[in-house]
Order: sequence, then structure tokens, then C-alpha cells
Amino acid sequence: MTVGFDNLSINHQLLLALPFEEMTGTITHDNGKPHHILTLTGTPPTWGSLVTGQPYISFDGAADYLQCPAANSDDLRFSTGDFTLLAWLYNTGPVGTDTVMCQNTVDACGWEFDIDSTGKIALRTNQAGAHTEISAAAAFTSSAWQLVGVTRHATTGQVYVNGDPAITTGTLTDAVQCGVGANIFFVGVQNGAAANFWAGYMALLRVWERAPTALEMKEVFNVERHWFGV
Amino acid sequence: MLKPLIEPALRIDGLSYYGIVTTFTNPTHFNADDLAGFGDDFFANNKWYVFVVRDAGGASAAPDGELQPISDYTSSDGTFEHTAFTANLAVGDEVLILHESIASIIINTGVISNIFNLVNAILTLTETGGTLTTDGTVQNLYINETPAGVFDPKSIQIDFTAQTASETVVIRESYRIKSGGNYIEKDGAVTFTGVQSPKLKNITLEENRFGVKVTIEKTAGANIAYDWRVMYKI
Repeated sequence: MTVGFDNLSINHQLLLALPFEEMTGTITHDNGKPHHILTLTGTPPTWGSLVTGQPYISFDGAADYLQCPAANSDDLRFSTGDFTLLAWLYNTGPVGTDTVMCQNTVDACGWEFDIDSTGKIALRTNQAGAHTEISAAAAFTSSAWQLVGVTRHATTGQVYVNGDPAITTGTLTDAVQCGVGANIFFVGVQNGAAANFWAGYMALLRVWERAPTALEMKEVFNVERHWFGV
Repeated sequence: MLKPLIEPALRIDGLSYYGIVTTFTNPTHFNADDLAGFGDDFFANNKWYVFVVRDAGGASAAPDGELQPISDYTSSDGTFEHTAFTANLAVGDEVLILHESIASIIINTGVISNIFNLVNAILTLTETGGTLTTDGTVQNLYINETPAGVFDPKSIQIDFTAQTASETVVIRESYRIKSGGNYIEKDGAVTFTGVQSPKLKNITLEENRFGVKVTIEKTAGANIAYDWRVMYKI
């Protein structure tokens, strides 16, 4: 019996899916149709696997990150439409802002998914000289694997933790769309690759150009939780 | 005395009955005084189940949460005969006697969980790919260094459109067949020299558990970009 990856409804409009299956080298490939190729950059990040065999990438919080060239990540230049970012995260203790992933220029264009300076899971969209943000009401739990997602739907957004909607505050204005081929897609560091590094681990990163339902988010959690002992 | 966990309206509704173990006789028999008097064999023949709703110690110790069918019932003293639990009942344990129509919900939850687990283990046909520019070294086109478990690589396709008469590349397919073992090359290296026809090469891959890789090495000519894609069930 075969299940087709693209036939799974959860994978509709999936733009990026990083399973980190290579487990060696400095390149990781995308199961999404766009075939983004990300380079492990910095120290660089190291490969690891949980006792279940689930692969992850470890970031040192000081210099490690992944990047996809701007020319190959134009499909991630979200602006007026819905989009969703999801990852299994483990942070050893956020210090300041810890970036999960972004494609932006702060207060100019694009978006950023991070643990913000107050320790909350947040999604920011940038406008000219400004930004808007949604964030979870509760603080991010450090040193524990958890499935964390943020969706942007119209002017609202929703944070999900382990498949459940979290109390979310704030609103999101359309991001100014970054220029064609202008912004690198980063994982684990802020745009510019100089600050807000991720300290800890990440696994199974995904990006959709739609807002999955709460039921779909719960389904993803239920299907994958066994890999992470959650 | 502890307040009963079950609201009175739910205790005797014709489908469920609440009681407290007053005597533990042996692993398959107990008495509940407050469940006496329904008539011999009222709860019998595996049409009813005993569900342990609360461990007397309050620590959720086994058999808390377990469910077993009832085979016999003595009305005079509320004696139940049942299939043994994973641990013995104790005096003070709180139980629900559930009709099979109710108990089936609990039973089916376990069945559904098993089905979910099986469905979750079905492999999904997945794809990835990219473009690799040769540099004269042995380079990984596709690699899964330490798979999480058994998976099924199907094939890799490589586009030789850009290769000219000057180039020669060597393709190798290797597998690791034990945990921590070395990569072992399969079927020997295949050399592609000059312009290729057809331009799309297909390599069939084997099922694997411990590691697989397909490499490309340029041995002559210029550095060329090769598109590739791999299909695998994982």
C-alpha cells in the first residue's frame, strides 16, 4: 500500500518540508515541490537523531543557521495571502529574540517567526518603517520538544503548541512583499545572519501558503508526537 | 469518607452501576456490598464489564483504568467473577459495572489506537531533488545517512543534458546494511563519458534501514550542473 505525499490533504499548498534525512554534509533538501536547498552555515549546525531515530539539527545559539539563496526562495515572499510556519522545536533557553525562520528586512518587508524578546512565540510581518505581530500569551517552554506553529489568516493569526490553539494576542497587517531575489530565507537566525541565533534543536520544518485548520494541526501533532516522546 | 467520584445520576441508569470493593477474594473474584441484590447472574455471561474507575490509594495504581468482562454474579453478597486484571483489586477500589454497549466504547478506543498506529506506519511515497555541480571530488547526489527506520528508496533520476563530449562522470550506489557499518558499493561504479543519449538516467534503488547514498564524481572535463530527483517511500 502506498500513500502519496501530495495526496495527503495536510500537504496541500506545502511550499517547504525539511525532514533533515541527509544526516551528514552541509546541504539539506526539501520534500516540497519547490525543492529548496538549504546550506548549513556557521560553525556549522550539527546533525543529530533522537532515540526514536528522528533526525534533527542542532544550533549553537552563536553562529549556526541554515540559509536558502534569495533567488531560490521567492515563493516564500508572503504578503497578502495566508501562510503557516510549523516546526518541532527545542530551545535550551531563549535569550532575547531567538529566530525560528524568516525572510524579511526588519520594518521594511517580509515576515519572521521567532521567540520574541519577551519569551513568547511570535509571528511578525513588516511594513514600511513598522511591523505588526501576533504572539502567544504564555511564555515558550524551554528545554522540551514541542510542535510550534504560527498561521497568518487575513488580519489575524494563531499560535499553535502541540496541535492546540494557544491564546494569541495581536493582529497582522499585510507584509510588504520583499523584492524578487532580494531576501535570503533563513532558519535559526535573523535576516543578515548576525543576530538572534537559535540555541537548541529543530526538526520537521514546514511552510504552507495557506492556513491549515485547527483539526489539521492536531492531526500533524498526533501523527508525529511519538518520534519526540511527547 | 471520600466523596464518590461518580455523580448519583450516573451510578444506576440501567447501563452502568457504581460500587466499592468490600472484599478481595482472589484475582478473579471480589465483593461489593452495595452491588448486591440484583438477582443471580444479572451481571454475567460477559455481557457486562467491570471498569476500575479509581484506585483506593488514589495513586492511579493498576488496575486503575482497566476493564475486564464479568462471567458470573452472586446476588446475595454482590460477588463478581471476572477475568483477572494486570494487578489485584483492593478493598476500597471504586468500580463501574458497565453494560457491553458502554464498555465497547472503551474497548474500541484501544482498537482505534491500534489502527491509528498501523496507519501511521504506512510508508508515504515522497520525493526530493536538486541540482548538483560537480567539482572533481566524490559528491553525494542523494544520501540518507542514518534512516529513522526501514524505508524504501525507489529510484533516482539524473539529467545529463548539460554534459558535453569532454566530460566523464562516475556514478556509485552504496548501502549500509548494518548499524554503524561501512557503505558497500552495489554493482560497481558506472562511468558515463561524453554526450549521453538518452539524457535521463534512471537508477533503481533498494529497500534500506541503515543508510544509502548515490554519489557522482567528475573524472574529466568541466564542472557541470546535474539536476536529479529521488523517489522514496518513508
